[in-house]
Amino acid sequence: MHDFLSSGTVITTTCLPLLIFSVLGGMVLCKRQISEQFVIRMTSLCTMTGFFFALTASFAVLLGLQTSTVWDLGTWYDIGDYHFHLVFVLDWISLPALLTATFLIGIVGHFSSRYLHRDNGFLRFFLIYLLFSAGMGFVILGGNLDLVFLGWELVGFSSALLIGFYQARVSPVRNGVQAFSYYRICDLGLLLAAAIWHEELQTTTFATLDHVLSNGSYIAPTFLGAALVFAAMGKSAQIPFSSWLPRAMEGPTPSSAIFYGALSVHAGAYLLIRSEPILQTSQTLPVAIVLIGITTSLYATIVGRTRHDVKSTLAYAAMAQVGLIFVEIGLGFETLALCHLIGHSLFRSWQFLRAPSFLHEYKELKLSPSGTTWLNRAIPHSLQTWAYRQALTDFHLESAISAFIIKPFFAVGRFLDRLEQRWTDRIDGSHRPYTNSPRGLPADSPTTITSYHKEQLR
Amino acid sequence: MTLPSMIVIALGLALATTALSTLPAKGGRYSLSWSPLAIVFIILALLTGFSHPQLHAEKEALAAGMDFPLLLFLCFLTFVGFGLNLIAPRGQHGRWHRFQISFLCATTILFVATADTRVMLGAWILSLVPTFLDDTEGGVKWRGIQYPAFFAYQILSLSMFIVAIAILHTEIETTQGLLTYNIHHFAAQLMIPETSSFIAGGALVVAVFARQGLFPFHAGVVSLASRAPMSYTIPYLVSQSGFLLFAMLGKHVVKDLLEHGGGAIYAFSAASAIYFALLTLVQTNIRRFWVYLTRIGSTLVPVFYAAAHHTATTGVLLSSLALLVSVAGFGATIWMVERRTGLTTCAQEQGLAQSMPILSGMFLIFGICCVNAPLTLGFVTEDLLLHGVMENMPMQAIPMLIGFAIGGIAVYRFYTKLFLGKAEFFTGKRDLFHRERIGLAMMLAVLICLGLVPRALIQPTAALTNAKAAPPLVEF
Repeated sequence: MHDFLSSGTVITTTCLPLLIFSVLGGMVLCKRQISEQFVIRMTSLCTMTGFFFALTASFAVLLGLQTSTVWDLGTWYDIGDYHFHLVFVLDWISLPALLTATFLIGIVGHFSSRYLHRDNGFLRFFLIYLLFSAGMGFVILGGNLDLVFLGWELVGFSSALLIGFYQARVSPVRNGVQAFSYYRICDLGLLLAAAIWHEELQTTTFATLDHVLSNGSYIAPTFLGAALVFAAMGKSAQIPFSSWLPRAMEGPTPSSAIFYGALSVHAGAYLLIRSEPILQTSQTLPVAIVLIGITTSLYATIVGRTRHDVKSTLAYAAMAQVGLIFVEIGLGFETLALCHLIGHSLFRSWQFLRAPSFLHEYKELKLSPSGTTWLNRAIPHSLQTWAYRQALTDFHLESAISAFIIKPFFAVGRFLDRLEQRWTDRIDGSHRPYTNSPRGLPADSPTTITSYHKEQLR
Repeated sequence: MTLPSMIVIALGLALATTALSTLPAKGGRYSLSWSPLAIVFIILALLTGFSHPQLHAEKEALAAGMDFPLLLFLCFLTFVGFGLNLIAPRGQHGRWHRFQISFLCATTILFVATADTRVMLGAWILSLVPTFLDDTEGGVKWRGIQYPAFFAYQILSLSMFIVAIAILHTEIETTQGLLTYNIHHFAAQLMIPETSSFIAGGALVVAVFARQGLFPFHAGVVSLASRAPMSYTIPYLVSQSGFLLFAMLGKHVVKDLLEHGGGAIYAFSAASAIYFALLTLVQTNIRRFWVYLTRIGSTLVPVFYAAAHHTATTGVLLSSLALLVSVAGFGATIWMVERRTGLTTCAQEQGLAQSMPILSGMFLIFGICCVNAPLTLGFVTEDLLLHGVMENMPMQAIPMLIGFAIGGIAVYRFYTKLFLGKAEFFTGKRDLFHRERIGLAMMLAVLICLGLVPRALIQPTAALTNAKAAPPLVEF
């Protein structure tokens, strides 16, 4: 029973979504017509079984029928001293988070089945949604950093695809690229942490972390912890990697709810809760985490007050709450942080799902209380005006990153590209325009596409 | 059945396909007839090889040690060649496309399979012949040097290769009285003077760098990819994985050079990963974007030279195979986009996903496979590579990782430029044909299946690379 519950929980939350994704993807590739009902049934099967197993396992642990489990499936591959273990952990950290995740994934999936009814991208949404479900399963249940990284990548990739869901518009597409860029840069931290973790501690398994750290002295826990914090900051939209979160609201409401209200934005905090023993070996890291959290909370609170659309307001509110969760982690209150994470996930996703109908019902949105409050009286008017102006422009955070990092980076790239093209043209002797036909015709010649049309007529 | 006979049969089939593809058959059907046979044959050979006790034991002879990587490469190359033949367009220039694909595959098999450096040189020169030809209304005609930049770097590479072989041949004859052109003997040489070894090693490194299109010898490959038909460019880039096997043998030749400058070589090339990633990010030309993306992966070659740990070496070997399939698949999707739209540059969003949704998905999937997506073979090999490099060059792992990270951003950005946005110019359905779906699905299945079950590749390869870490024991 014990093994059945553990294995069932792991399989239904990680492998089953991938299996259904493969089935649906294969049907698309074979040009089979897939009805909305079929997609809904498959997704419901996946989410309901995952929730059932997560609920049963949680009750089993709660009632003392089962202790925390580390389910070791052996090695995926190994070479010499290096092993990639398939280890899943079901304990007091992962089970509540998993229960919340499967519950919300099911709820939002059901919401989406109606919200996106008859939308052209219905199937595409659910394919990406299944990928996300599997990724979250690996992140939550992963018993070592390697598996967490695998899920982490899937979550980031699916997130970027759903931001650009309304692909006929340019703005969501570009916002998706920005979000993916932040994810990708910050994922370097996680990859580096995994590599250092292997080298220093010979294992990346969370369950043995306390034991390993207490049995030796290691030179790199601060660097390792810093890499983890770097990765967490990107996923959880902490300063200075926060500008992608409001832009991510371009995606459909269900994806905003599940990604940026509930699960994806909390993945960074979850990682830090998991890695708490490493963070506590350093004296500077907890301080840094607290400072990051406080700064982000203040920033998000002030900027969020200047926003006039409900989803942006909720995005900044979520950012502020995640900042507070970071503060709790930095202060060592991981249980409190976990409870805060779960409560915030449930509440915020409800708010996101309610947002479109809320506006419809109330016709207007009151953004600020009428009259003066004690805060208005305490803060000088000039300071309020200055803060308001700065908040309207996000305190120039995004423009600073664009001006000092992104634009120079692209400028250097374009300069190098021009040098490359000049060098290649010089060696080639003369600049001949690129052609894509063996006969050397210009690329836009009608004859370059005759092969396609001939194929169609066969 | 021995390995040499397997190679002869595979090569014969490839050459037969090449010859048949030139016949005026109906739609070039003959060119596909050999591929299923070859695939079945290679699979049988692989299964036979797995059960061969020698592959599970410590290696004493370099020749036998090449069996498993060589078998893998043959299998992958044949598979990719079959897929590309399926994907190649029919119609007026179809035979020319399939001829180039099959011919490149055949010459690559010959290059990789032989141990005689003279035959290797011949195969190498033969592989360049299609760049002098062009298919016109009146048939295939000689055009001379069509891609001067590419030709210049090939001449450089060939020259350095000849210099290295000449030095090694002369020194071995002088010091050991052995007249040989066998590359296994060159790789096993222990007694030639250090100066000669240094010069030969340097020449070989330049030859490999120029052939693989590594910084700063990449302009030739970029020029080729920008201007030559994709039916030549894709197999050419794919064949670079075969040259890695050649580099594997050359590792012992360059050991003296590596003792003095290995770290510098690696650091320089690791930094070039960032350089190529940056160029990939800013591209608007579709072909140049693709070739710069493949250059990021090619920076693994210096890692191979400089890495002492067999985990890294195994990672590089298997990564080259993963890249072989990813590059071919990604190039094939670009080829399909070109044939359907005639697009060469992409500065603004084109919205092609509305008319070719499955092609857009395949483009994205193969693109991220080129930068080691999770659950694919590339992810496993990158993991091995990273941990192997961290053993003795931890700081130099960072540029490599940054290169792949930026490469991933570049792929997604280019995908959005090409396929997302509002479709203004390209409307109507132009999605994949049945044969194209099969070709791409095959390649994707290989990447995913081997990514899920990588043990089958890792353990035999690791056993061989571990044995190769020791000095070779071939006796003359």
